[in-house]
Amino acid sequence: MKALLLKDLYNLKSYLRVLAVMAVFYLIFGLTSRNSTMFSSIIMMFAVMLPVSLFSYDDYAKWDAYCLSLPVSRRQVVTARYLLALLALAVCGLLSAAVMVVQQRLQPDVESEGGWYALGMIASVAVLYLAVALPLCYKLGVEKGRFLLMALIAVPFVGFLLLSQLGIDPPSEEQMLFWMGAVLPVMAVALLIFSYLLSVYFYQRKEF
Amino acid sequence: MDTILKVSHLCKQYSGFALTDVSFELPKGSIMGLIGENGAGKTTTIKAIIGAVRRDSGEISLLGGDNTGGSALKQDLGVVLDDSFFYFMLNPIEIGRILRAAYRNWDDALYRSYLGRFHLPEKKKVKEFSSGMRMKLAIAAALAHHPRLLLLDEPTSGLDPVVRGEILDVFLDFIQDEEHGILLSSHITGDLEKIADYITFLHEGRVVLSEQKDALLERYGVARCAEGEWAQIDARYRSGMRQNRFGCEVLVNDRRAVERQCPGLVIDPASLDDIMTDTVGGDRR
Repeated sequence: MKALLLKDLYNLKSYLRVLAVMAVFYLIFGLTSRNSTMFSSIIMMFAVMLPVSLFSYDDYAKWDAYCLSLPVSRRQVVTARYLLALLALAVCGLLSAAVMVVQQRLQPDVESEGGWYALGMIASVAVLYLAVALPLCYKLGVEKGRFLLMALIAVPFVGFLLLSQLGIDPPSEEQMLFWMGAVLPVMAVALLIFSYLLSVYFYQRKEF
Repeated sequence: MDTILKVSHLCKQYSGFALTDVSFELPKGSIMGLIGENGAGKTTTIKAIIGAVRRDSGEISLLGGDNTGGSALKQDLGVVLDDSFFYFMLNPIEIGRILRAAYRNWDDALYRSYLGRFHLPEKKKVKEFSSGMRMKLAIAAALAHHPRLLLLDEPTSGLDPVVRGEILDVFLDFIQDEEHGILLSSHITGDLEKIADYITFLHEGRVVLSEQKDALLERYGVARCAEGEWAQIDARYRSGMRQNRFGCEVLVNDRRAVERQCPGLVIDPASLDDIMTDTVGGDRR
């Protein structure tokens, strides 16, 4: 397992450098535009993109067939990917929190009451997207998986649009707080566990 | 016979191709060459052994256990796949660190000595390597954890003759240990004639023959005769035939018997190449 994680970390080296530059850019952009959630949204998106990119690297190097000659099980391969995804989420979450604290100090006049709450929500949404993206990539391959993921990102927006067209009132703030604050994180974690089991199932049956 | 690898009645169906009833045994302390034309099923067989493709039926046992029996067996397995290279952005040192974390018996000093011996720059990214260098890296990586069984898919393709000779010497050193075994697939039949103890010939997913190389080369011969003369050779000795400008070449599977039967016929010893091309490329009559 350690070997698999190390392999992914080495592969991400150059990718991470690009992400670091982009993170600094969005940090500055967020501060100057006095937006407290911009940085966390972008950085959490990185956390979702990272494990998905790893599939591309694996495909390109035709790693999977070789990997099965190593003393690792197929289950361990999937576990390592999920662990890395969680690690990415944790690091990005911590970074977002740190930036939020700094921004609150530097710009106490910027609206930030909902900031922590928003961060929690963004993290839950990121987990949800990962929970969908990873099994899609295992089942359909990274290209189709990525395409479907992009399509799915549009779903909440389309959903709200449809709801408003249909004349259904948007949920009240209390309802939103309940759904986003309590239900969403639980849903996200449950879905991630199910997603892991599904990915293991798909990967056990894959041939290279 | 103490076997280190046994494949029994392996079957695997694809839409345009199938492995059918593939069986062979690799005894300890020996090298088996797997020969066959492109698309014969050599890579598929090796992938089935490591579990990268799932067999439809049959049994595969290696290193004392079934090949589906858990990944611990693979501690003693070294594999080189023809179309599998390492990540382009990594260098040999990083690859070594990854594999050290995977293998209990990883020997970093040995790995570095192979890198030196094969003239592979330690800190250069794999994307800057030639295909021959990548192959040498794959071989170094396969050997550095002191495996007992090597499965090699075209390990000498892309290598110049000098380096090929070096690599073959490495394999011969490896096999000095009677507990070791090598299964190696190759088009380069000359290499197999040099080092293989056993030959298994795959054609269109089936095993045409699987026996000791020396006995094989002793038995088979190529009878050169004029057009029409081939019929005088008993049908059961004819394994294949090729027409050429001067007449035809008949691959015979019992040289001595045919010499006795047709005393005037010119029969040369067959090389593995002859056995492969005359069986596959020619007509079987």
